[in-house]
Amino acid sequence: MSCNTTAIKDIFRLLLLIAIPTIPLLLPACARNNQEIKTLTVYVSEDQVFSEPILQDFENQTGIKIKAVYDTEETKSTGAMNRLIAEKDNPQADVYWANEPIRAEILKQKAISAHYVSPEAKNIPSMFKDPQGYWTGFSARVRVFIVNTQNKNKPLSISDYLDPRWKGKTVIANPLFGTTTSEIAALFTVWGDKRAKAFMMGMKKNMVAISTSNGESADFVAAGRYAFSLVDSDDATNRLRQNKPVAMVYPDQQPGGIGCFVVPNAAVLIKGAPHPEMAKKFIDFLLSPQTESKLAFADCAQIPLHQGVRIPPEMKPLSSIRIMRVDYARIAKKMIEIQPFLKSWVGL
Amino acid sequence: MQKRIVLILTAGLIVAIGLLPVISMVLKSVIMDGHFSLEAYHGLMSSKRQWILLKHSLTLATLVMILTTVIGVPTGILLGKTNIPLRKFFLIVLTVPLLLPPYIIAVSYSDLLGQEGLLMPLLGEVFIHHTSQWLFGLPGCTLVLFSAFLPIPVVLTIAFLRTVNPHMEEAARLAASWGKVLKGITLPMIMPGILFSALLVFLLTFGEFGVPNFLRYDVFPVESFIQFSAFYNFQAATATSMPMAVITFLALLIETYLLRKQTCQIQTAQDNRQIPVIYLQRSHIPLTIAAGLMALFITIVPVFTLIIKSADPAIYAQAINKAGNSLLRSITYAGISATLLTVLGLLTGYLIQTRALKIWRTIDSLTIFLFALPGTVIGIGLISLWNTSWTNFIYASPLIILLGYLAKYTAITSRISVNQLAKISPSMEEAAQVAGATWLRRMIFIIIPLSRQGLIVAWLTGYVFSLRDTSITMMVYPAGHDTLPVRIFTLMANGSPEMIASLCIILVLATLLPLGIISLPALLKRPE
Amino acid sequence: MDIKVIELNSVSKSYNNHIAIDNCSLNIVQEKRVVILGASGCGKTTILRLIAGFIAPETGSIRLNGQQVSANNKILVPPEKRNIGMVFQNLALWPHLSVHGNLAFGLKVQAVPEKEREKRIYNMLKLVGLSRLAQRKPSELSGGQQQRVALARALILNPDIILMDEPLSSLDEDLNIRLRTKIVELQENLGFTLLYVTHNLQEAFSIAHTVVLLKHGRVEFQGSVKQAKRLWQRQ
Repeated sequence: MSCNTTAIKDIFRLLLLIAIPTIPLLLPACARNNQEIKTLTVYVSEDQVFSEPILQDFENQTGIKIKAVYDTEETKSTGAMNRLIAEKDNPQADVYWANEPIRAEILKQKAISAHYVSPEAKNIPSMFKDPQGYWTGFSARVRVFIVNTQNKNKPLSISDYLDPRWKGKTVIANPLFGTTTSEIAALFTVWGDKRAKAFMMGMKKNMVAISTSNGESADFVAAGRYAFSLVDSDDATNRLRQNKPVAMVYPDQQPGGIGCFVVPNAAVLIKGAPHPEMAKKFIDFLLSPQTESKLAFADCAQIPLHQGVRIPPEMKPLSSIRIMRVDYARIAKKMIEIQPFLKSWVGL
Repeated sequence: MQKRIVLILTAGLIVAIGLLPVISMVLKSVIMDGHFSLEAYHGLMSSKRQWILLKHSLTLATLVMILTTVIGVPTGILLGKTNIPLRKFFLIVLTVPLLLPPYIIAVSYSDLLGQEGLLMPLLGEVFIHHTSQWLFGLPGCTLVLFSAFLPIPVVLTIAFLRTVNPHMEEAARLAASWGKVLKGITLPMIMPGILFSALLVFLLTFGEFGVPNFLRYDVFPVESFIQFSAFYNFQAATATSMPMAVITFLALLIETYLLRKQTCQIQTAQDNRQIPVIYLQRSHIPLTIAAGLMALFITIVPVFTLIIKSADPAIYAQAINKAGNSLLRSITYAGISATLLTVLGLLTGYLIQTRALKIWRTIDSLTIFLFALPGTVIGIGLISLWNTSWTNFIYASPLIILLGYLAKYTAITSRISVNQLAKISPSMEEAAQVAGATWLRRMIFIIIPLSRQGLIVAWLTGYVFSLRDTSITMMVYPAGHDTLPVRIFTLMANGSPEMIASLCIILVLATLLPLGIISLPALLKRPE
Repeated sequence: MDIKVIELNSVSKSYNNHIAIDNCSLNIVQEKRVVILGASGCGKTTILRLIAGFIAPETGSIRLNGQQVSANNKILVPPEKRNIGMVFQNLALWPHLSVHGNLAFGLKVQAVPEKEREKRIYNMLKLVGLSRLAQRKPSELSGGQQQRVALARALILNPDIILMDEPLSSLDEDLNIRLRTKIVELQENLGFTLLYVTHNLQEAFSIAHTVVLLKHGRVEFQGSVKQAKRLWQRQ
């Protein structure tokens, strides 16, 4: 046997040694194209603990296997949104379950979402749907105050962040991330830039503390470190269910008040989705009153947008809450405009 | 010829896996609306605040690097070279923090020392108020990251101690005590390993965002993170990652300067004996107590917090159910990744150690640069390169995760291999060469058996880093193929703290058991 | 007519601006024992490494059995194809292989069938007097035994040329004499060409047919042992 033949055989053996453990890893990609196995890929920004049971219900009902990519809290890592944007030219996802409509708007602006108007969207108020059908809202949270019950007085308006009697006693989640960003951007659209900026600077002057997330804000208030904070309603409901010494207050409910900012989930069909028909079926499922009811009774305590959906007795239906009238598309655009201001406000 | 082909392919693989994705990201960061633009970089350079954040990051990274080195190296010597009792136990315990995401350690310390912490009833509100103030800021960040990264110099010191020619120490022992021998002979000989572990810790700390963010200490990576996470601005995010390249380059220059007088030591067949052991006499009790206290504070205390939170067996049952197949996937991917990292690390290390190609220095620097780069940048680079209809069979498979690990962690296994290969006399390979063996045969039958110890360390290190990775995995894992660390992060959003704690314990146990079985007896083999 | 087995033609080699070999020409004839003699650092080992093919000459050429194998900074024929055996200064015995394994390695590379391989190993071990130590590891052998293993490993592939780089330098006088007698005996029986490097005068004179004196990388003298002795006496 010549040395060259031996050398070639050795290289072949080495390549085989490396290939053997790695080839089985390619099987999932091959299985993806197998039409007999029905699978759907869903990217989910709603917390996994709440969304996973809904996905499992869909699997049980339809036999369609869902493969999910879940998100994390914004302040811990980058996740589903960045993947969707990065994968734009060769989408892997069929559906995106956004936990707020601003993300859905951003996807529309970046031409990553596709038009689909579900039959289940008929009875959802138009404020919570994209007029062109690029996203549809469902199961909403509401921005509320979580207030420590040791305080005799309770805040009633978002402007109470500026009240000197609360100086140094309030906290808000980092306005660069999540629903806090959305609400601040919403205030800019409702109040105008001048008043909104004055509000922000006033908060700073009144020594508002900045937490890393709504959950952390809720924990601080529950522990008595701060008197109140603006958080999502599910954060407040969770602490109430844990019997923490807190109360939930819907801000700006007085006549003429701007009302609470509503943050619905949003179902988005991805442009170029590998399985569009199954994706539409899943979106119909997400938007159904049955799903909204399940999410209402779950620990996330999300308020249905359909009327007449069965909800827990302690939950206020949306119709009984004064809500902030906004245009989510305008909010998404405003959010990008005020980024430099928010960064400097946070101190960056 | 065979050697040249394989080594060129190796260099090409590193470029394809690591450099190309990064180049694609860098190109995107300088092209706006179809035109060349340095706007993203200009914004970065002109911001005063960014320089302050950079100073914070450098301060934190330097502090953690110095502390872990100053404490980790002697600890490594204590556990790897003396007859202190319970060495294996201490080594396992001290390695645990490396298996946990640093953020979890920060949460544990907060649960313990924070204002609502477990120690509040014991220590009182006033004391806790002070510890809480101290925890949330630079001191707390330093403590947490010191705990997280201390295992790196400890393990690498033990590994590099085994490469010291025993005759060198024995010759010195004829004239001096162990203290002087360690200072004058042993430590200078393992200096490449010490500097490498310091470099690793520095870069890991510099790139860390989660812990400083939680503990309220503003650091440089926050800008890149915000650009990705809040603004989805890939260009700006990539631009803000590029200073990492400058920092890495400077760190490598410093390392090269400090190692310029380093000479290689060569072992012969006669020298393949056990390493000389320091027999502690009167000092073994105080040193054992010191090791125990360190294990207590660094590992047991934060892990104990996790255990207390997850004390209910029902919680573990729920956690195992929640973990699903992610645990098995984690171990599988980490195992395969470690194997590939070891092979690639050996080939790269060989290329660097023997300077077989002219670009050896470039390849070494490139691997370190990729290690220093935030995983998110590498992840998005991988997506932009591999997410095409032609390469979808790779992108839509777990192989993409392995490519990410290879890009990010080859530096570690490569440097370990370099040090191991330096121990082998070139005449070992030459003797096989004159016997007619091709280069691959020489590698398989001579070099690899002689490098066994180093390859085991490389495999274990590659395994740990792959297993605990979240930044790259989060970006590229195919739907339904998440790993346990990723799942812990996704479940943290409104998941019960008790369940998260139990998932962390499960992660630690699942990785320690095989590690303990496979590796430690070999690593701590003692003379009869 | 004497066949030239090793030819060095105007070979030069330097390291970091230090000239190791300076315009060296050397012809070594078949089946002869040539000893390169010189002080430490004069370039002896460099010549061996050039002939083995581990390094290339900067200028000049090297031929083995008439075939050009290295020239002008290029290695034209790699070491594994030169049919050379070598005993290294540090012996380079593979510590993870037994004596048997060290000898078997090259035979396996050449795909020698197992029966033939075992026969050759047995005969070689008998030749060097190590038959009972086949399963020992190198670390379990004495210095002299290790030397003999290194020698056996170099011989077992029946090379035309054997290079030896100060193989006996670390041995005591008595063992040194016994082993160099053995080396001469093996060379005469097996007929290979031996190029032997040493700084030891006695060793050189007792082994060599031809002595080459190397000084500062240059060949100062090449001739018979008798001529070499006369030269030393004059000096």
